[in-house]
Formats: sequence, C-alpha cells, structure tokens
Amino acid sequence: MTDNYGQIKDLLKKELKKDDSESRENSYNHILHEIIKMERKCLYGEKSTYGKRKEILHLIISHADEEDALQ
Amino acid sequence: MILKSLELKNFRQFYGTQHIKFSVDPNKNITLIHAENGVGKTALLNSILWCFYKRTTPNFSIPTQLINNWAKKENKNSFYVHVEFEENGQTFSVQRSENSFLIFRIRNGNYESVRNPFYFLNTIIPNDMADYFFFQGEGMGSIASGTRKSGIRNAVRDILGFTVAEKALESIRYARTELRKEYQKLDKSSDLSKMQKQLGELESEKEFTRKEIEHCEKEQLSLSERLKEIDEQLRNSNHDLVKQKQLFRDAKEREVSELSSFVRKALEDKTKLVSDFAISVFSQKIVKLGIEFIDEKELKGKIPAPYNVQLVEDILSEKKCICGADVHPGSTAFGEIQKLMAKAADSLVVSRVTRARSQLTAIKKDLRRAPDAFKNTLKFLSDSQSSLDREQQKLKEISLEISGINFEDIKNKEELRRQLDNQLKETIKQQAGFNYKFKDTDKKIQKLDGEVNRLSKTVPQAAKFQKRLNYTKSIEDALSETLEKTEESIRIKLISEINKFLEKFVRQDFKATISDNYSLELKDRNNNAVGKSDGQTLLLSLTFISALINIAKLRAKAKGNILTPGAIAPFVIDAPFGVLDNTYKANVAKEIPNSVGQVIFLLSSGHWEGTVEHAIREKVGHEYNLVLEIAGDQGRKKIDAIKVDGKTYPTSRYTCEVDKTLIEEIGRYV
Repeated sequence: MTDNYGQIKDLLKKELKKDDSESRENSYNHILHEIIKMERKCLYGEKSTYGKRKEILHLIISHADEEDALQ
Repeated sequence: MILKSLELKNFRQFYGTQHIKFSVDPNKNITLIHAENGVGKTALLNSILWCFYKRTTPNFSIPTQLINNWAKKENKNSFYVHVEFEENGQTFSVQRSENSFLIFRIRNGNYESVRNPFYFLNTIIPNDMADYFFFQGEGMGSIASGTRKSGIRNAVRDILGFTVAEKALESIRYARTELRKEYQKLDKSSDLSKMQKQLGELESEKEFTRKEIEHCEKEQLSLSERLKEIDEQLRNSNHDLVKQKQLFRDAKEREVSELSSFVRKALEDKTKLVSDFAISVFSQKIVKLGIEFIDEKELKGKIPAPYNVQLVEDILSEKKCICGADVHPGSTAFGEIQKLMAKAADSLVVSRVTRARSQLTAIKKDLRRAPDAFKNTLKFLSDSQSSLDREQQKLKEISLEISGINFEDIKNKEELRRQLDNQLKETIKQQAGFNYKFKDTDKKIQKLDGEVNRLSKTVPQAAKFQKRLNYTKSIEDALSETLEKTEESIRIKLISEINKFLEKFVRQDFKATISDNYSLELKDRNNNAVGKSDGQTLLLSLTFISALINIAKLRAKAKGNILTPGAIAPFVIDAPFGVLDNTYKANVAKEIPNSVGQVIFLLSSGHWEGTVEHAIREKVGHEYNLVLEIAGDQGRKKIDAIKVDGKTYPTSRYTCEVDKTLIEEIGRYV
C-alpha cells in the first residue's frame, strides 16, 4: 500500500513537471518569437545593438507586468 | 532553392563573361563540372559563395584578389558574379560586383529589385548553413577524424539557426542586469538592494566563468588539432625512423587512452564501494552485538517470549492457570500473569524479531564480501595506474628519442609538440577549476536568489522588480530548454540518417555514434570504437554532410518561432571523393543525388576515373569541362585530356590569346 502510494506520488510529480515545462515553453513562445525577430533584424543590419537591447528590455518589462496583473 | 545559372565576368581564372546552366531536372539532377587541379573548381564554388554572402572558403588562396589578372593588366577593373535561382516557383537573380549587391525578382522578363537583399537571401539559406551546401571537400575528413568535435556540434547548431537564439539569450541576460541596476538606483541603502548588487556580481562572475570554460574548450580543440597536424607530418616523414617512432607513439597513445579509462572506471568503483559497504563496515560492532543479543535472548526464551498473547488472555478470562490452579482477579498471581501481557509474543513481535535478524545477517554477509571487493578494486586501480604511469613514461621516452634524431626540422617539430602537449594538459586542468567555480557560483546564486525572493515579498516596490527579474529568468530557462531539447533530437535524427547510409555501403558491420561531447565515431557490433581508415573517415564525413542536408530539407517547413527553419538547397561540392576507394566512390556518388534535390559535382580526373562515371551517368543533366588556356607556347609540355563517355576532351590549350579558364559545355541530356 505504502509502495503503491509512493509510486503514484512519483508519477504525479513527473506529470506535473512535464506539464509545467510544456506550458512554460508555450506561454513564453510569443515573447521569445518577438525577441528572436529583433535579433534577426540586428544581425541583418536593420537595427543597432543598442536599439535592440533597449526594445528587448521594454518588451520584457511590459510582458512581465502584464503577467503580474493577470495574476 | 534550385540553382538555374551562373554568370561570371573577370572573376579569378575566368576572363571575360562566361556561363554555366545548371540542370534543374529532378530526374537528372546532377550538373557535372570536370576540371583538373588549379584550373578553377574551387574558384567556381567560391564564386557562388562570394556572390551570396561576400565570403570564401578557408582554402581559397588570396581571397582579396578576385579580379582576373589578365583583365587587370588590360585595365578592365570590373568583375562580377550573377547567380539565377528558383525559389517557390519564382525566379531570382543575385548580382554582386565589387561595390554592389542586388537581388531581382524576374517576372515576365522584368527585373524587380528585392528590398533588403541580404535579409531576403538569409531567409532562404541562412549564412550559417551555407558552408554545408557549398562544400569544400578537401580537408573534409577532419569532420569525422575526431579532431573537429566542434565541427559536428557547430554543424548541428548552424543547421538549426542557433546563432540568433544564442544572441537572444545574451540579450535576455543583459536585460536582467539592466533591471538590477535600475532597482539599485531607486533603493540604494536597503539590504535587498545590496543583495541584488551581490546577485548581479555573482551572475557576472558566472557568465565570465562560462566564457572561460568555452575559451578553454576552444583552446583544447585548437591545441589538439595542431598536435594532430604535427603527428601527421611525422607519420608521413621521409625518414623511416621518424615514421616508425611516430607509429609506435600512435599505438602507445591508444593504450594510454584505454588505461586512462580503466583508471577512471576504477576510481568510480572505489567511490561506489563506500556507498555499498559503508553501513556494513561502520556498523560491524553493532551488528555483532545485535545478533548475539537476539541469539542469547532467544536461547533464554525471552525474545520472543515462550508464551503468546492468546494464552495469557485465556488464563485471565478463564481465571484458571494451565496447571489447574485458580487465578482470582485481585490476587498476586492474577497481577503477575497480567504483567506477562507486556512481554507476551504475538505475530507482530515474531515478525519483527525475524526481520531484525535477517537484516542484521544480510549486513553481516555484506561485511564478508567487503574485504574482497575492496581488495579487487584497489588492486585493479593500482595495476591500471602503474600500467598507465609506465606507458606515459614510454611516451616521454619516445618523445626524447624523436628529439634525439639528428634532423633539425624533426627536433623543432618535436619540441613544438612537447610545448603544445604541456599547454593542452594545463588547459584541461584550468577548465576543471573553472567547472568547479561555475557550479559553486551557481549554488551561491540559487541560495541568494531564494533569500531575495523571500524578502522582496514584504516590500511592494521590490516585489514588482523581483517579478520582472523572475520573468527574465523564466524566459531564459524556456529558451535554453528549447535549444537543448532540439539539439538533442537533431543529434538523434542525424545519427539515424548516417547509420541508414552506412548500413547500405560500409562493408563491415559498423555503426556510427555521436557521443555527448560531439565526437563522431565508428563502433563495431560489440560497441567498441573502431580506428578509422582515411577512406572510412572521409566516407563518414560525406555521409554526415548528406544527412545534415537531408535534415535541413525535412526542417524546411518547420513552424517553430524560435529556431530557423531548414532549407531546400543545392549541394555544390568541390573535390568530394579524395581518398575513397572505387567501391566507396561509386556508392557515395550514386547515393548523394538520391538524398539531395540538386547536385553540382566539381571533379578532377582523379575523382572521376574508375567507377564514378558508371554510377552517376544516368543522373547527369548538364556536363561541363574547364579548359586551361595558356597564352604561352606549348614547348615540351603535353596536352592534358579527360575521357568522358568514351570521348576525349582537352583540359589544356597553348598559344591562346589570353591566360584564362574556359568553361566549355560538353553535354546536355535533358
């Protein structure tokens, strides 16, 4: 009984961890896509490194605050 | 991308304006270009690479002088390369000259300029991936020889577009530093502010250590490559004694590597012994006492007691002893019997005693095994270590013997080799230190971060900043996780593609593996590493490149937002077959066009003659011959020629108007 309980607990933990990692990837996909877009623009000379960093910082702040407000 | 045509004007050997039309037929997807060494194969490959990305391959000599010498002499200072290609049913022309770079979309004969041509081209074939599609075959063997581990890793990362993603990681880390600075500006004196400052410093230290580790890895790679080069030179030395000593050293180094792995294994086993036997060794006395105690009490009938609970209960309820005497409640006898209940045996006590005894006996048995296990492991460790010391000493002696050979260049090479070897050992030691520091700093960061998070909750302004900081950490983790997972999945896919190819073509029952540290190895059926011949090394490299191109093709429609999708691209390869024997040559030549959409082979007669013609003839769509035209007299030189499909074509001509390479079409089969 105790062993079964332990196994079930482990399985649940694993599942929760998996879900957590998958949903984390999905929820950050949008902002990561935006950041990658800016990196590409910088790499191909459409944006300066300074400009890119500034925009990424703003992007992160606004997303973080938005997420905070939702919580 | 399907290449349609190439136009060159005064580019390197190619004087005037010259053209090549590539085969676009999917059933005859090979364009074959014959050229002897020094005539222009590499220049042709580089003309495409330069036109697309303004760069050339590392083996392209004097890359700053692209204009044709004869044209320069005639004061004709313009040169260019135009490449026409098809992408998604549309035709584009890429045009690069010394000072301009343009791309046009060709519609109904009209040329419409493409905005931001560099960006556009990179969306079709990213610059990072280009080296695998426009491939310089000479020196390719190093990919699989084990000297270019970074080559394999970089290839996987390039094909996935890691450069951009890694830059994004840097930007995210930079954002975190900026956020910390902002917080410190607002709150200069509190403990939290100080802790944030400390965290920032620790993170910079961690980043610095990470870069140092990367630097050490690169340094080790470069030193190893230089050592291999020297070994190669000594192995191919004209002096037999040097050659012999080097071959002896090669064998000793293999032994040293095997012995080192034995020592590592013995050290691991030794550590494991501690966890396996610590309990039995350290509880030796208590186990002995425990078993003796149970035995003694059992003998005296005390554990478990010789009477059970049921018996005592029955006497008390019947109020009669088993001897027939009455036992009245309240009497002394009744009280004494009642006390027996506390010690009376029941099934639980019996099972507990049995379990305690069996556990103590098991520990005792373990204890008996311990001396032999320790003795054997320590003996194996000591034997392996002394063999290792002995063989390492022999390596030192070989080095001294080579230095003692009376040739100045050999002495110098060996001296340089010794210095490089010492540097390599030093770098390995340094890296171990940095690895430790990295882990240690990371632990400190995690601890401090936990405290900061806890404290921040009590200060509203700090809480807001902390949430932003945590957010940057979360997106950094999410991106790192994605990169790690994708890299791993591509590594697995690659190895499966390579093995499919090897199964078909390698005579022996070998399998390829890419280890965790990205070394490409051949293993036999017992999973032992196999020393690769030059031919097998080249074959493995070619297979690797074909597999990589195939994966890029499969990823062309990838939908992820983070990594660069793959590309469908031609495979332009200069001097692909090198030291391959005839069977391997034919097999590889036949297989490449099956796994790649369009192939442009640049071959010298050495690559072509033998079995290749027969293997690929039916897939050849267009065929060209590069002829070296020389303005001077023939003198006593003979006219070189190549035999193609039963016909002979010259590869050099004399008393021509100018020195140049002429592109001549010799066949069109579609």
